[in-house]
Amino acid sequence: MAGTLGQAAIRLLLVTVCASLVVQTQAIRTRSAAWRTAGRWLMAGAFVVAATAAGCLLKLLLLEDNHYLYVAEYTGPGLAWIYRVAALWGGNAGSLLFWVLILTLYGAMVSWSRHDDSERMLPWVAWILSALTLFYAVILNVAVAPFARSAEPIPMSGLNPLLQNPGMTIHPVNLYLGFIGFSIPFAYSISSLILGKTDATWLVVTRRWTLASWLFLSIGILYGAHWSYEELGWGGYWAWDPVENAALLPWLTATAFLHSAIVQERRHMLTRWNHVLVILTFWLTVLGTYLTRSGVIWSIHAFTNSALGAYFLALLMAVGAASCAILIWRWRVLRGGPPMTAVVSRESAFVFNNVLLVGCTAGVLLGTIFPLLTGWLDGAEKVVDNGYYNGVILPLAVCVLILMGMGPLLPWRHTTWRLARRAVGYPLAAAVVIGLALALVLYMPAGRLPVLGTSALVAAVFVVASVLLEYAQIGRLVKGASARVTTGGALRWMRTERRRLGGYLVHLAVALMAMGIAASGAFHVSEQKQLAAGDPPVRVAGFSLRFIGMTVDNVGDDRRMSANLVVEQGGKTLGLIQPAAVFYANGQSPTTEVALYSRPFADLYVVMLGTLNGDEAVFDIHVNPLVQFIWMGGYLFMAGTLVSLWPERRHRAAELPAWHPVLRIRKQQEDARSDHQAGKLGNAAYQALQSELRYQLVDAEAVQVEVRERMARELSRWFGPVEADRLLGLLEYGSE
Amino acid sequence: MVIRARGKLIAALILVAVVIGVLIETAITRASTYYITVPELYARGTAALGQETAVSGNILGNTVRWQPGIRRLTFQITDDSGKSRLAVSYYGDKPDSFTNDWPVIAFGKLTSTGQFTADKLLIKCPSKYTAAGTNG
Repeated sequence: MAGTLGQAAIRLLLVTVCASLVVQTQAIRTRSAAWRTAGRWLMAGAFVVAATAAGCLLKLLLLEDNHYLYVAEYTGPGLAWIYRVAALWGGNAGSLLFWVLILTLYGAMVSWSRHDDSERMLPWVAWILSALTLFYAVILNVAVAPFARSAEPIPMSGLNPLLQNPGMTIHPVNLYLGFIGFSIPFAYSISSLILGKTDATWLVVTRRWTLASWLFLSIGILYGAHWSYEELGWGGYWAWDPVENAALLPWLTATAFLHSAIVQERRHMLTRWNHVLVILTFWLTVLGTYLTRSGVIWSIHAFTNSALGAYFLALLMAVGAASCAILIWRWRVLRGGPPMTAVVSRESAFVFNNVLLVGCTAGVLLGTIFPLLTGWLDGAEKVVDNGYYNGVILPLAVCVLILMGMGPLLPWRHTTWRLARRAVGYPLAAAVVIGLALALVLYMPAGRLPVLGTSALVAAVFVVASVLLEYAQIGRLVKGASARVTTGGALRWMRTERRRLGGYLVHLAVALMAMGIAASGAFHVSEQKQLAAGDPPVRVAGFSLRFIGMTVDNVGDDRRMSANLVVEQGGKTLGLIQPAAVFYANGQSPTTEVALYSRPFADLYVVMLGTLNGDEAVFDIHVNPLVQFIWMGGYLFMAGTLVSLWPERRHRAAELPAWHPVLRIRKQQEDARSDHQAGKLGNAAYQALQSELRYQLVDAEAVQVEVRERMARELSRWFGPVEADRLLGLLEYGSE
Repeated sequence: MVIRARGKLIAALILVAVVIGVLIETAITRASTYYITVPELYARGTAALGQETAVSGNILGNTVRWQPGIRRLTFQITDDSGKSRLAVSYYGDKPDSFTNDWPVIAFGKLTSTGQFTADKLLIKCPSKYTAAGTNG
């Protein structure tokens, strides 16, 4: 029953999406409200249909109805319910259905939203999202069959024990939520290009979507890294595997976009570049999906070699070609805004940060598709190993960190070398001293002092110093304000600058993670020891380990063999750790369980490699310094992004500068004032800038007054003077 | 003044782009290896000796030998046809899911004894997307 209903829903999805495409086209053509409403309902309908199909598959998985091929493949007898739920996105067909579910959910949310110019934009946005959904609906109907049924029950495969981990639920779902979320900014960008809109409406509307998708993607990547760290044989927290890279690529470009969007909002610059970044981010998500599902590239993650590759290649090319054509068509319409006036300024720091992030993207992309490229060009496939990625990405990452530290310390527009040196010099000097001290502390157990790791530590400390200075400045401004206005003023100020506060929290988090990566990557200690029970303790980087014997216990039908190691530090017993090997009754190859003893400043990571002569065992002992900083930084990262994302009661107020010239200039005046107060901007430059901005403001206000008068005339002609006044009040953004 | 600043900015950006390009170029020449199958390795003949290579193949389960005391793992891999075999020796940890017919990539060099000395192994993680019948 559920199977039949699910299958019917998948067919109906195809019909609904096609109908939506027709209706959206009509809504675009006729501009009629009736078509728009119909289009909205169809977007919601597509979600209901997709949810029905997904619900049916979920029911079959929970019931373990093994007449269905998909259920038999991805669940097994006695599998915990949580993994039966996870099987919904664990397999190929199911994950595509899940993809459609999320895409239609997002589509419905967007098409029921309202914003500036939404009547013109939304039909286009809905059209693009429907076209994307159509692609997946076709695959679900033609290429894969989530509800394929056989008359006889099919023997069930079960889920590999390595995948029976909570990670199986959190990690893929977050990646999907992030990946699919980037479709929305893409749809908005293309819509506003097609409509020839030069303003930043699309940017304001999609900021939240981009930020939320970016957060999901970050959580997915981080959780994957954490999971991989705790499983042996997956190469630590990061292995530069193509599948990991596929998730990292859009993350890098989205990070670049989140920064360059600020420049467009504040200074109306980089308008073309922002479109390019958003389109590129979406294109990279499609590329990632193609790479992970086509089997063209070898990965430690299992890939399918199905015919799906051809579909995704087609989508990849279609998206690429259409986007390029639209960009070229509208290139001239997108005016560049004012030119950059200085080499050293906040906006130029943003530009350099963008170039570096896109450089990282290019480096990772080239490494990932290197076998394909050399195969096409040379005939002989070549691969790059971790040395390539570490040689390219790590130095660039250090440069990104340095810019992260510099950016907030520089004023908008321009500064002098002297002021810039003063603003950057002291925190940088402090960072060098503290960073080197930190490296020396790590040097003692590790016995080496690598240049890259040390400079990464220095750069990370620099970011921390820069964030602390900015917070101190915010504190001073709040204090200055509250001397006159009381704490209410401070709270109000925190509300209006909440995005900045959140952004700096994210910077702090990234600095913590960078310290963790640099310390654990460059200063880790590892040793292999063969021990018999009762041997004298082994010392590794301050920890002392004593092997006291083996324990064998039964876990269900399986047998677990664990080694008991007593850990001591400084004469104090810290506890017992048990690296283990599990032998499965079904003849599956044994798996190793890592024993992890985490402390804030170092992880003790012990693996039992094997046993000898009954009572001896070989251990691989690692001490990874500051790994916990990566995970703690991850939590701070989420908190910071949430602070930036948190809905505001009057959220329009905070986002207005992007689309009203008068407000933008006022915001620039405010920025100049706070830059001047912080000593980033000299007196003369500040006076010159303020007088320039005053002239600009007078011009912009004159235009505003003229527009208002014309609007008042038109409105009172249609609605009468009283109603016109009310309407004008509603429309007013600029006046206070 | 604006023009001069713009020129300087563009020059600086070009410089950054060139540095990134050089970084990538250097890293590729240093860290790229041929990626081939077992028969392709043999087809290269003596040219393959001592050259950094990445060989892909499937593990022959009954040839796997793990000596934890010296951390030495030896095994044979074969291509899909199963005709040519390559003996691999590797010093390091034995990865989980090291079972029969499991795909693996060995990074290393072919020595004159005909054995492949690997310094790195890549093993697929358990399947999420494989067809029915496989274990997992």
